[in-house]
Amino acid sequence: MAVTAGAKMVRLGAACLLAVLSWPVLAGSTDARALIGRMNEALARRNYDGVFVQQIGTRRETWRIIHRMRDGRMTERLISTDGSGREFVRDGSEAVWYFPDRKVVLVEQRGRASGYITALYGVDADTEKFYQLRSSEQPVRVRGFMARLVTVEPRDALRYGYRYWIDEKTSMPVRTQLVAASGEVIAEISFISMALPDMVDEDLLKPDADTTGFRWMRRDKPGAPSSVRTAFVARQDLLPPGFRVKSFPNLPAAADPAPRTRFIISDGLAWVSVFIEDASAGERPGAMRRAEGLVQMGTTAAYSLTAAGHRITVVGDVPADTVRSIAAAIQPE
Amino acid sequence: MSEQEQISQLSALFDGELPRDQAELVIRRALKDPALRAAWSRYSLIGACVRGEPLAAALPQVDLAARVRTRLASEPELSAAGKADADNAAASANRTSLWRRGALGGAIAASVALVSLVIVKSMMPGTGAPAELTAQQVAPQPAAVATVPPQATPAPLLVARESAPPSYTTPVDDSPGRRSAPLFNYVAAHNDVAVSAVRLAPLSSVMGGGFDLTQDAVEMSAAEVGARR
Amino acid sequence: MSVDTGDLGLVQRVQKGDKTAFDLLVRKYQHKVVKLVTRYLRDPSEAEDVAQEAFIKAYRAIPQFRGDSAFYTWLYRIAINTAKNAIVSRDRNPVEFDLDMQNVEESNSMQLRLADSETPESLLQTEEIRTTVNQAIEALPEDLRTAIVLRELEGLSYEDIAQAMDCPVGTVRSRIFRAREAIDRRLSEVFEGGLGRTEELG
Repeated sequence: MAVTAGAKMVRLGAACLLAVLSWPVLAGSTDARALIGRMNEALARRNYDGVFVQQIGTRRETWRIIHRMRDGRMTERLISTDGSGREFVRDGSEAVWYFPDRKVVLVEQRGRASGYITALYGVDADTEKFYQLRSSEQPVRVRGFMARLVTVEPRDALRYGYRYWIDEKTSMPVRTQLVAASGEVIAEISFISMALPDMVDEDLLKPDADTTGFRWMRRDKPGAPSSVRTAFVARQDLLPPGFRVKSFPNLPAAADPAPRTRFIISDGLAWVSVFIEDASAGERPGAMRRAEGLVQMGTTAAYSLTAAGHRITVVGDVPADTVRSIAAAIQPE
Repeated sequence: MSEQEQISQLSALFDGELPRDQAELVIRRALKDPALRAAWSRYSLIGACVRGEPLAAALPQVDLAARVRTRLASEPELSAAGKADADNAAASANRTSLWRRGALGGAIAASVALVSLVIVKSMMPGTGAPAELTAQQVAPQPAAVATVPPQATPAPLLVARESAPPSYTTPVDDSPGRRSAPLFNYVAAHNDVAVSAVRLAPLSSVMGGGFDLTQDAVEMSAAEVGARR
Repeated sequence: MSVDTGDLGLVQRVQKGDKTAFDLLVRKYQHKVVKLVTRYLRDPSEAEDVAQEAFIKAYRAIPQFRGDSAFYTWLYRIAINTAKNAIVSRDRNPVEFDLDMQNVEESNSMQLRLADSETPESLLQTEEIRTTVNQAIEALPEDLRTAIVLRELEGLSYEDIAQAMDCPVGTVRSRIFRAREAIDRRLSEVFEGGLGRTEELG
């Protein structure tokens, strides 16, 4: 396989599980979009049962995932392999965490159902302005899978890139990487094995832990805020190139997606939420706690600052500087 | 063939990965050699530990396999003609109530259950470390892994059948630290609406450290929990 | 997954009348069956009773096993049916805790047994075994640990593991064996003479 010019070869630790790949020849974007479309469809429709290794920086974890889509309802179970017995079961928009090592069960209600392995939505003609899409002409071998490599390379350092190794037979992403503009791999999720059963037995989606004697806790979505009449806007001229305030065609018009969100900003692929609260909001019970400065949580960056008596918090799956820039673009009217 | 080679073949046989012709030889040897059978049991045990499964009482005295062996000894020899007998025997076994604890196996199990109550009482939460156990612990635990002692409430001797639950190890990265705890609500709200691709977080550091989901969580009432079961 | 030649060979011997061959199958699958049955019967001692019954039923039904499915698949179904039946019969006879004469006598004899048995140790030791095994796995060199985990956790064939680890199948077999040996050594250090190393009982 030929190596692309300026090949961005990366190594993630010495473990043989994450072997260095040689890069195939990459062709243009039409193929890439078609492959991504097939991948998204597979992720939305198929049942899958596999083991993946997830690596974020130097943190590596191995999990088993059992995912079922039946009659339009998603149920998914993630099982840890580190001896903690921890599991995570999502059924529709309810998520339940089992912590047998701490004897706690936590039930969360979320706004929508979504699986752990996420699709890549939003690829359209405009994407090419800020990302270069390419795909390999030939399939490459990834741990026993034959896959086409699709790369979504950012044209600047304000956003992340993505690499998907899409299985030829099933269109499932057998390996996915989140990549910085420099080529540095920020995170990777890679399947060691994957089966796509036509049916998933109900028993496989039940947790193993015996919850007798456990504490059961519930975590609801944050309560409705007091009516904060925000006098803030996101200044388009100050937003990083390509990022715009978006609305959500999928949500019912009247629904407030998340009580404190005032803006959702995106460049089509990357998403950023902006929360604006009264600066004294932290004292109310159920209110969101104060954040401080810039924090990285997994692949998500969050940044918070106070302006004009208000607390502005920006959270996004983009580089830290971008989150900061977006925060700076939120200005009083 | 050296003993080493023999046992390595046993390992492959256990995994079902030995070619047929070699399998026959090893099976024959294992059927004659109790040491090989014991090693075979330990392979099964190792697998159960890796998967974090409950162990079927791994010691010879209360080993499930030993109890089955005892029962098997009084089972009639199998033959093709015994099919009808087998069916009848199976049917009558179902009719016998297992819960009367009249059978030999049942009695032993019951005493284990009662005994475990005694153990459990002495491991009540208090100072945290069950002092009675440390004498039994052999190697010092590596710093990274903590085994949480099982906790349970005591119960009247006759009725309750609580026994110590399997032990789980708390993942390494749960060390508390000054991290991003307050921001989690925002990230959760963000994840609710954003359709970001490749959005990952170290799952094993959830709860404890920077991702404690149980903050801002409320305790569920017994009725709520009951409704879920 | 390819045919488990080990299981098949053992089953054939059982069908010819060799009970020791069945013992090997029980040893191999006892934890799995107990775990499976525990889903239906939470109480561990009940679960073990039912697991035992399941194995006996399997033994009796083995003349009918034709090898259309893997042995464990067949055993799995028997175990589930046994567990379900046990629940049904238990629910029809909710008398485990009543105080009729028979049970009172039994409970007295249980207390006697409690006094003179050494089973307090056994329960502690089960957890120690687990801890020892887990520690031993943690202490393994990375290639051995990866191999044993892929085999035991995900049940990958040697061939699949070879692909995942990018090494020959023979190396996989050797790594898994060496991992088991290392763990075994640790177990024997901790439980010298125990765990059936000396002689079989019963």
